[in-house]
Amino acid sequence: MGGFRFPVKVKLPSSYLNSRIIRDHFKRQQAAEHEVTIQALKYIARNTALPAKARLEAQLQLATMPNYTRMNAIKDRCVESGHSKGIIKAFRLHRYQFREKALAGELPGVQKGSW
Amino acid sequence: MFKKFLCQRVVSFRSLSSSSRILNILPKSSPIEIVKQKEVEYNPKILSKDEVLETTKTPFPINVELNYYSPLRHEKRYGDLVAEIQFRAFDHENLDFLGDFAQRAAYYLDIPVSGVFPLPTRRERWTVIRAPFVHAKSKENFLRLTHKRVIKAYDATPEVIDLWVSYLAKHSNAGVGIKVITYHRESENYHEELSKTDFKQLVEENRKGTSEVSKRVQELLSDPIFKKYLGKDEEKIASVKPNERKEIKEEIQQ
Repeated sequence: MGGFRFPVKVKLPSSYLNSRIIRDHFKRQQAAEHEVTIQALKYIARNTALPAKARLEAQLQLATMPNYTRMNAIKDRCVESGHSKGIIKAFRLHRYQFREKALAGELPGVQKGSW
Repeated sequence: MFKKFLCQRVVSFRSLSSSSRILNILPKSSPIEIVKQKEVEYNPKILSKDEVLETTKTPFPINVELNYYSPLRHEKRYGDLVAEIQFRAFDHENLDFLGDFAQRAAYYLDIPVSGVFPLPTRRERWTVIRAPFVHAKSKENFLRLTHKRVIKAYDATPEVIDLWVSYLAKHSNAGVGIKVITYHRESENYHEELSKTDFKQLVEENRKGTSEVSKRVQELLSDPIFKKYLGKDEEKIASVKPNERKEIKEEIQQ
């Protein structure tokens, strides 16, 4: 990840910030921007009604898309600490941040479980 | 505290125990109309604790007095279910209050409603490792209960239901979600109308150039880079909507 570049300006998220969160946010913006083009190219590439050369051209264009425009490069990150693993998706929090917040009563309705 | 007070009130006004009796006392036309017709002299005054109203034999007006009794409800006329209103919250106190409030509001809007029924509570549970790093054997459990209540409304017009719902939304409690399901009835000939409509055409019309992706496909295929690969037949294909292409292809092959 050392060679990460930001070829266009990035909007910063309002959450906790570190370099990995900014990178992820950048990828999200890029993916959103190029989503329509990627879908259209995929449609052409997979359409058997079109000639093979046109489909190949679409595949080539897909392969030469700018970096960081793919949806599968996006990873959910903790909005409080930037962790990428052990995220509880309903709260967008890392398990430890979730526990701290729940014990502090900052998550509505979440209580210590005993059953 | 409030409950205790409530009990005391009910005991002290035991003579007013049945709701039917209260109904008989209620004036048939609204207070404003009565004042307008000058049946009653308009003379507002603050009632002290010792002073007692003639009609109710209590120091409270009847509508205030009714707050100390379980909500009044209208009888169903036709049993035609028009709406279900669902409340959700993480604690049941707010829910009980809003359910009670909704029933009272429905009474004054002349909507026959059911009682407040509980729905199954949603239980979400999380087990997390206590420590920020390793020590995976020591864990902690958390849970969140989502309580739900539902009220069914009958025999009312959609306008009245809208009014009821917007009133509840305006005066809703913090932390209570409101979800409304309304039911609409069609005429007996509805299946005939349905059979007349051309669904294929409807779907086509809906798709017509609305999708951003299909617009972009058109744009890309009209680009010279792609155009040079498209023969005459393919250009014909490219000029129409994506979902019609397969059929045209078949036509060309024939």
